[in-house]
Amino acid sequence: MSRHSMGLGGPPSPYEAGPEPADRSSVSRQPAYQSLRRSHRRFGVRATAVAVGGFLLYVLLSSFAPALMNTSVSGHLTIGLALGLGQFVLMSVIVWRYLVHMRTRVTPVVRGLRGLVRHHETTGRERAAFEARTAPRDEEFRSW
Amino acid sequence: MVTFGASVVDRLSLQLTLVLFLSVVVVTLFTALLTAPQRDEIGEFYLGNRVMSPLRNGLAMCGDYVSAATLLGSTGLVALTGYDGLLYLCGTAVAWMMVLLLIAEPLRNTGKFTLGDTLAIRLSRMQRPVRLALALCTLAITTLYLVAQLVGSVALLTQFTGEPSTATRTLCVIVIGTVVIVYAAIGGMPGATFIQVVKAVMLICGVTVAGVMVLHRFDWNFENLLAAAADNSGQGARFLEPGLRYGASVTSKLDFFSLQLAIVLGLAALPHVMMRLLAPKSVDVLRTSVVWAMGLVSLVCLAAGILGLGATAVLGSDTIADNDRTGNAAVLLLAHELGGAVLTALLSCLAFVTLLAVAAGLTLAAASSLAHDLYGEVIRKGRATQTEELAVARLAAAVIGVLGMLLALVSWGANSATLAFLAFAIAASAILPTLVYSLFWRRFTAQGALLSLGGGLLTSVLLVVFSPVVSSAPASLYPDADFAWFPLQNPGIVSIPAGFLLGWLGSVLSPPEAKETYEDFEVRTLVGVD
Repeated sequence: MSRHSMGLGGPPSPYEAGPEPADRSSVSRQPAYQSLRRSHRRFGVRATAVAVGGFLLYVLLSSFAPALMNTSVSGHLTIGLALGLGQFVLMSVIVWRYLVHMRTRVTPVVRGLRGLVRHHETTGRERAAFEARTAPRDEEFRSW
Repeated sequence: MVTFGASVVDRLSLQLTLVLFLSVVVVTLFTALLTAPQRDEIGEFYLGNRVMSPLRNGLAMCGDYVSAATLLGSTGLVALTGYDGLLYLCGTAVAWMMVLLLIAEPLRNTGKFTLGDTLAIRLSRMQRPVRLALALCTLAITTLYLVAQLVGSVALLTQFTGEPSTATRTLCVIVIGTVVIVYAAIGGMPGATFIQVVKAVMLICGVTVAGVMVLHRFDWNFENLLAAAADNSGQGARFLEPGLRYGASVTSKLDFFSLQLAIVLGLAALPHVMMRLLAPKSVDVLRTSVVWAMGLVSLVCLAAGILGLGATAVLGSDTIADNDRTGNAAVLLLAHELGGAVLTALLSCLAFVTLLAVAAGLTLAAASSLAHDLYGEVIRKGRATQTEELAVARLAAAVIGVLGMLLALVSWGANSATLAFLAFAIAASAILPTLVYSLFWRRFTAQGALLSLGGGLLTSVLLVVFSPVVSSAPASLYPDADFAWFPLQNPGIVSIPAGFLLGWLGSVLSPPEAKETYEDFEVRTLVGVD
C-alpha cells in the first residue's frame, strides 16, 4: 500500500496511517465511544425510517387509498398534493435535526476519541521504537 | 421509446442552442485539459486532490445526481400524468436523504478511492473476489446508465430535427461520446468536476428562471396554476389525483411502488454518486456539501414540478403529447412559449450539457472501478505502480465510452427511462445490501457479499428479461414473442429483498469474520482517522 503514500494532497488516508488494530480496539472499549455508537445508530435508524418509510407510506396511500388523498383541502389542493409538499418540509426538518445531532452529540465525542487514537498511535510508535532499540534486553526479560 | 414528433423549436433557437452548446463544450474541454492531473498520481485522477469548498462539492454532487431524465422525462411525466409524475420528483429528492443519513459519512471515513477499498477493509479475508464481483456490478450499472444517457441524446436531437437520419444519429452519439471520453480519460476527476459544476449552475439558474416565469404568469397563485393545469389536461380533476398512469390495476400499482422503491434505494447506491462522496477533504466538509446538495436537489425537484404543471396549464396536454408521446418535449415547448428562442436555447443546451456531465461522471466511475479494483487489486494484486494504474484507468475510460457508444447505436430506439430504471434496480438490489450490511451488521461476511452482489445483479436482470419490457407488450423490445411470466416492469420489489436475503443467507452459512475486523471498522466509520 505504500505506493499510494504520495497519492493524496489531503490528510493521510486510512491505509497508510496504519495504526495497529489494538489502538482502535482500546477506543472501542471506551464508555464514551459505546454510548456514541448507540445514540448515533439509534438516530440514523429513526431518521431514515421516518424519511424513507414516510415517503413509501405516502406512495402506498396514494395507490391504495385514493379517496382519502383526493379530499380537498382548499380549492384544487388535495390532501395528497399537500402531503407531497409536506415531504419536503419533513426532509428539511430531518436535515436540521441531523445537523443538530451531529453538532451537539457526535462531533465533540469524536474529536476526543480522535485525539485518543492519535495518542495511542504515537505512544505505540514510541514503544515500538523503544522495543526495537532494546530488543535483546527485551528477550532477556521474557526468559527471566 | 423515441417518437417522431415535429421539431419543437424554430431555426433561431436551434442556432442559438448550437452556439451556446459549442461554447460550453469548448470552455469545459479547455478547462478539463488545463486542470488535468499533471503528475501520474491516482489520487489526483480519482478524487482531484480533495481541495474543493463545500459549495462547489455540493454543486458537483447535485450535478452528478440530477440527470437529463429528471429534467426532461420527469417534467414531461408531470405534464402528462399530473400527480403520478409529481411522486417521481418527490422520490428523487427523498433518495438523497439515504445518502445524507446512512451512507455519506461512514463511506468517507472508511473509503479511499472506490467502494471496493471500503469493502476490502471490512472483508479483508476475501477482498479479491469481492472486488471482482463489485467491479462487475459497477460495470453493469454504469454501462446501462451511460447507454441511457446516449440514447437520451438521440431522443433530444429528435426534438430539434424531427426523426434524425442514420448518419445524424451516429454523428450525434459519436460526438457526445467522444467529448465524454476526453473529459473522463484526460481530465479525470478535476475535469469531470468542472463540467458538473457548470452544469449544476446552469441547471439551477435555468429551472429557477423558468419556474419563476410560470408562477409569474399565474400571478404567484398556486391555486390558479393547479386549476389551469387541471382544465387544460383534458382530464379535469383526475389530473391532480393519483392513478392516472399507474392506477389501472393492482399490478400496475405494485409496479409503481416497485419503481419508487428502486429510485429511493437505488439512486443512493449509484457508483458515480458514491465516488463523488469520497472527494471532500474531511467529514465536516462532506457534511456541509451533502446538505448543500440536498437543498439544491430539492429546489430542482420542486421547480421541475412547477414546470411540468405549468407546461400543461399553458400549452395543454394534447400539444405536449402530439410532439412526443413520452412528454420529453414539455419543458422545451414551455420555454418557447414563455421566453421565446433564448429560453428555449438555454434549456435545450442545458439538457445536452446534463447528458454530457452525467455520462462523464459515469465513465470515470466505471474506469476507476476497473483500474483500481479489477486491474490494481485483482489482476496485479496490489503491485501495480501508480503510473500503470493511471494508464489503465485512462484506457478503461476510452473502452467504456466506446462500448457505450456502440450499445447506444444498436439500441437507439430503446426507452432511456427503462434503461435507467434497470440501473437503479441493480444498484438497489446488489450494491446497497452489501454496503448497508458491511457498514452496520457485525456478522456480515465475504460470502454474503458475493451472494448479494451476484444474486442481486442476476435477479434484477433476469426479472427484466422475463418482464413485459422485453416481450409480450406492444411497446416491448420483442413485441411478437411472449415469455413474460413476471408481470411487473420494474423488478425492485422482488430483487431488492432478494439481494438483502441472499446477503443474510451467505453470511449466516459461512464462518464469521474475525471479531476485531468489525470493531476496528466500526471505530473507523464513526471516528475516522483524519
